[in-house]
Amino acid sequence: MVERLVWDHQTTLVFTNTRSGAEASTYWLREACPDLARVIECHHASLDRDLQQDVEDRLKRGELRAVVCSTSLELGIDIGSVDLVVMLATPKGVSRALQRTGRSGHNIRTISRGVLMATNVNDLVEACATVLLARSRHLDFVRIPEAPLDILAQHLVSMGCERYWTREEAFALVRSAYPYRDLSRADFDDTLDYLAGGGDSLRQQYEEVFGKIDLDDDGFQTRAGRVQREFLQNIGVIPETGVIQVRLKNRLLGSVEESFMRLINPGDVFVISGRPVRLERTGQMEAFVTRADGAIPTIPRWNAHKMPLSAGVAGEISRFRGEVRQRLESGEAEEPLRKWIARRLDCGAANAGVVCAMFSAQHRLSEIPMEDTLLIEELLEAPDAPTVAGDRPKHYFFHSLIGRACNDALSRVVARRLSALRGGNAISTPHDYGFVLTVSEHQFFDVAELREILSPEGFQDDFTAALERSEMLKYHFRNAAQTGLMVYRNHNSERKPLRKLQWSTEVIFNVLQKYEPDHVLLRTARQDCAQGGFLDAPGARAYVERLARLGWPLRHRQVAHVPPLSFAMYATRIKEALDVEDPAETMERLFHLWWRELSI
Amino acid sequence: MVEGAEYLKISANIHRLAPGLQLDARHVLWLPEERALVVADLHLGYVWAHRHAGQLLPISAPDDTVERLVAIAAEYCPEQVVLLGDIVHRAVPVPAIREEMRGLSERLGAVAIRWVAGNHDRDLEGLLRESGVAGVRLEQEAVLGPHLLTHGAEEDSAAAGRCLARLGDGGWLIMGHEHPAIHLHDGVTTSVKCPCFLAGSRILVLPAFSRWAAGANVRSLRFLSAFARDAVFSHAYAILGERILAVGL
Repeated sequence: MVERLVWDHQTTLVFTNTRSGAEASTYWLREACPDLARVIECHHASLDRDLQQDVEDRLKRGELRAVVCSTSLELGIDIGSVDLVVMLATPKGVSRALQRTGRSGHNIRTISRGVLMATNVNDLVEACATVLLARSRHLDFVRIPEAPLDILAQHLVSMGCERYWTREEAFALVRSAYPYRDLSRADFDDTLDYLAGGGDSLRQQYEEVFGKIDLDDDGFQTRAGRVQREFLQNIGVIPETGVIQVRLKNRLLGSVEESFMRLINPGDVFVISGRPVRLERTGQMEAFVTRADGAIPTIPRWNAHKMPLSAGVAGEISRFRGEVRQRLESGEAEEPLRKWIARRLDCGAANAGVVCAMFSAQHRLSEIPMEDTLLIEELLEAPDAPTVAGDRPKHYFFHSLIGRACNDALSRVVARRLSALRGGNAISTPHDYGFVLTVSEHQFFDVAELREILSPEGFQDDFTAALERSEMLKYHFRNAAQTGLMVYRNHNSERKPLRKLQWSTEVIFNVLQKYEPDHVLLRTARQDCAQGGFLDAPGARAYVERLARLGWPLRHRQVAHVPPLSFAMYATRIKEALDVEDPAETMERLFHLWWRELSI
Repeated sequence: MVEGAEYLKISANIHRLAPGLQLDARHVLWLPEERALVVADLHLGYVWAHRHAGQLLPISAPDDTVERLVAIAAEYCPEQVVLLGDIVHRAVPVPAIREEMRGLSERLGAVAIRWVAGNHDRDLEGLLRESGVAGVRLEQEAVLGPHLLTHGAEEDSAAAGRCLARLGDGGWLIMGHEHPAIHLHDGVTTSVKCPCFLAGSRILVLPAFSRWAAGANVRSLRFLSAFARDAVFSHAYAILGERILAVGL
């Protein structure tokens, strides 16, 4: 299909949602069109900068027939020859779909053309909903970050390089920028204090604190000399996670995130730059590979965040589900239902048939979740999945179709409350269409308890508490620590990279959590969490409030197998264990668990 | 439980690895025969070294490394304390680090301190002189009874092999450097990274004593040291809070 589109157009840009998806698609596309293999390239931000530039140049000169990319070619690239955009898997939001489509026919006389290609049935419904919303111009809501302090810190250092600023004039200037219009004076002063090396008490305690700025009661100026030089080398707000350079002999192929490299072992085959390679050995921040042409790749799973489904598209899907359910309940025959679906989604007969089949199956095996009820399906894990504890975990599928950011926030609160009731940690896997709660035997709960678990009361507090030790907060702290100049980025070429395996921002994070929870950068990280687009606590809270208002319309179903609408959730399995349990209790529990296991 | 040391009041859990080798859950090793307390990877002045290099790491947290060591030493009453390398994170000329070095040597009192050099300890002798700690000579290794104690930063397999060949009967090679840690899962929901001792046939790797060590996963077997790379480890002794748990590898 993509193959035909590529043949029929001058230059095709193929978007995928993940870097690994881009790698995999390039690989399959080359396999499918051997004649075009040399004019199909892959482009994403993990590739070596020179390789990326080379692909962009060849694309601009019209030498390439197709480029497969992740988000890397979404913005700021103007290529006249592209006459078609293909989106593999839906772009998860209306604005993004339009932005991507706009990369084709990028001049005043031509029309931009974009094709959405679904990779599964859920995707198909989503793609249709996206197109319907785009046509009716329902764009996604744009969120502007509110006064991020890490960026403020970097900017203040930058201002201070130029001259001495009084606190008043600097504060006034910063507040004139829209995101900082409501910046409080306390936050501003705390940021200055941090940059000066710590608060007053610390400066009195030590002879030197090595601050970035010289601060007095009236104003500040950035320290001259080395501080300014190093600052210039570390300007930037795009986070750099630990990256490992992948080398084939002496040639640099690109880089992968350190967390990814930790998952694979020598001998494993993965795809980079669209070619399968075998990992031979790893050195410090380097990995050495050999060609593995023809080998079946273990597709890499990069740790980059997946794009969340926007609440707008989620709402549209939800409405559609409700309408289908009504028709199925009223006993509508298959044929007219298919026709109705084709009309409703504005899709072809074949597509409508597949959608119809899936919804009918869901209707038979469980039920179709609706907008005004919350369907919870309960599934006991198959007995052949052994665990240390020896019990069979249970999955609860919550069909809250409110967008991924809301679901993520909601699932964290639910996991935390369950832990408070039963102890232990619960795995919660947020998804675009709801979330899965995976719990072990001692945590199995009653549906009657759900009202308590979902209660809007104390929601915000539980959410904040659930975040404190989450991977999400650590991730944002890592970024804030770099942007806020607490640790330097990797690209400082003169310096040997830190021994990443032994020392990490995670330790700094733990220390701050314990001794200085109010640190400027920790505050920023919390705020980034709540507003960063990956978590929407107010949205989640509004949802449970609505459930309460509607008198808790909860639908509970025991299922023997994973029903069709839950399958995507089940398959996602991000498995970020939400650490909500007290660490000391975790230690205690693990000790007994392992001790029992080892003594058998 | 604690043979040969019944009269000692030890407040943390102890694991007897072999006659004469006792692992203490507080990240230290006790050699009862030699009455020696061994700690590796103190990385003193970690935050200051980073601040000196331009990074604004937090100094609000009390650095209690020396304090913890002094408290443990008070319980064991050792004849000597072996600092097994990476005593300081970087010997930078910062008043706070000098203070810390003075504190370390004064507060251990009359106990003999063996300063074994680690790869981070370049210029440590100079720093000690500036700090007013007189007459310290860094050693490349310490021999205690049959055991050979060295930091372990050696990257050359041949050199490591020659070193091992010198081990006598019942002797162990004891090192630090790797900051070993192990992930323990409950199979369902939780995974915890614990610092650990790592033991194989006559080789023992100590966990880092510094709180700043994140720990490197021992299951990945990606060791920096030639000693560790060439060894076969049979057990990790994971430190879970106050307890030590033997985990087969």
